[in-house]
Amino acid sequence: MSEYSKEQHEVLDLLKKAPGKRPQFFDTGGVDHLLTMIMELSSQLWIVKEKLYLHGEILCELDPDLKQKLKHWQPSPDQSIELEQMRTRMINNLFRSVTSNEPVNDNASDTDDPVPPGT
Amino acid sequence: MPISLAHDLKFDLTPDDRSAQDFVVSLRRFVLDDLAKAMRSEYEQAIAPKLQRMNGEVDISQDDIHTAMRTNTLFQIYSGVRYNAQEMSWRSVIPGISQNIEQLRKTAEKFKREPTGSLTLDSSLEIPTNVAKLDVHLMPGGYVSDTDLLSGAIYDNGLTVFTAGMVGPEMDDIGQSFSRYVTHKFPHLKPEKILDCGCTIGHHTVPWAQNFPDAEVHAIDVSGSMLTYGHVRAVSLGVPINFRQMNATALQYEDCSFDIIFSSQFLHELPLKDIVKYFSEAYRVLKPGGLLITMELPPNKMLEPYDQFYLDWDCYYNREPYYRKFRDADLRLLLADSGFDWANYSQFTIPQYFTHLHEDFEKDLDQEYQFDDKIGRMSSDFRYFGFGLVKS
Repeated sequence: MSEYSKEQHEVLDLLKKAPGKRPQFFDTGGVDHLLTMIMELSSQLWIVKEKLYLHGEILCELDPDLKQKLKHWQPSPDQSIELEQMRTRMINNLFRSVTSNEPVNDNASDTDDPVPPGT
Repeated sequence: MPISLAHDLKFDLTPDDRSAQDFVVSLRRFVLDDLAKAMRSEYEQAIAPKLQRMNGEVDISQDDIHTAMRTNTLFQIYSGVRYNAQEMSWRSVIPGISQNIEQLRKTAEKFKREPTGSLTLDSSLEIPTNVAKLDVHLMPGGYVSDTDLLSGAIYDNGLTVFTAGMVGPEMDDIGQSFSRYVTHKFPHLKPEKILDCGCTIGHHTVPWAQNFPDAEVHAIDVSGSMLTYGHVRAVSLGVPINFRQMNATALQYEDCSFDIIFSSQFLHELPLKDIVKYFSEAYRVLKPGGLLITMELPPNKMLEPYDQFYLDWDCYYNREPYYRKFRDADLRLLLADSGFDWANYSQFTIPQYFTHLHEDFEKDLDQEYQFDDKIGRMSSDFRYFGFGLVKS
């Protein structure tokens, strides 16, 4: 069951419409799309950052000592390891398209993708 | 200070929607101030010397600059970010409008019952192609996506994000500045009737009614949705304005019936042939001694080639196809057959009223101002371009 009424859906459907043909500013195809994605991600990242700030402020109001605790917080050795693993996973994910050269399956040569015409 | 509507059609935003809108506001300020300055600096230091060498004695045109800049990385980034930020201005308000559309309609119904001003729609009006077939300013669905409030609501909320407070907290600074220009420069003009053409949601019409409380103020547009929303908006502000769906190229008013005809950011959206028709119609319905006053983008011939190129960005990348033709046009030729006497023409620049003390604003109007890169562009500390003619 959708949480939106039909009318609300109709308004939201405007988000699916492109206002005409998009211009291409960058010489290399696809870069303009990447920029759009980065801008959308930046907007979403800001929403998350602001939400974290908001939550921090609310928690500090509930616990007056929390601000100092957050300010002076240092990760324990175990937490440091966990955070480093999380950072590494994030960086690997971020750069996976340029660093992942290994085939997924070494025995997959029989099923290699055919070479596209014109290549 | 978060940007938000300053009237009763405002609705509560979720924290996420507000964050998204604040992000666009900051992003647009960065693009229009910081990135624009960096791009200009890049042009002056790296591109202009090359163009001068290539052109020799021939003057550099805005087309030369545009051609050279298209391969410049900073221009590509500036343009890509600006285009996306423009889209995001509108997109950031749509979820909130969707969530609150029913409440918005209820509020509108309440205000519609109040006897303030009027709204007259014309369902038989043929919507001009330049409005019907374009998502002007990249606004999803364009200005006539519906016959009710929706386009107006997207426009009002989206423009609030888009202008980022640069035309005043009530988004009415063009109307404020120009109506106060008239009271200062034409102290003997006591208008009985004022008309705002291409008014959209009437945000710049409102100050005319406020600053000339004895005048009957009319406002027209081809978009019924904009007018429906604009009427409710004006009622919510307690300002009586008579909104009517009408094409400014065929005014349905008596000859010699208005004292002032105003428009803002309107002409550059029209094909040149329609501007000529508009001028003729304005002349017809103005009383002798009446004033045609227009806020617009400055003509290209008044600006340096780089500033021409910078302002005309919108023509190529913001769904405003007539923008450059208007700015390249000779106003003298457009006005030639309208009936106005060119000798009565004057053009001027006006500071933003809301950023000045009243006395300083009036002092500024009495000073001569040179045309520079602060004219007509959306950035901090910019000035409006205007022109006017009195009907003999």
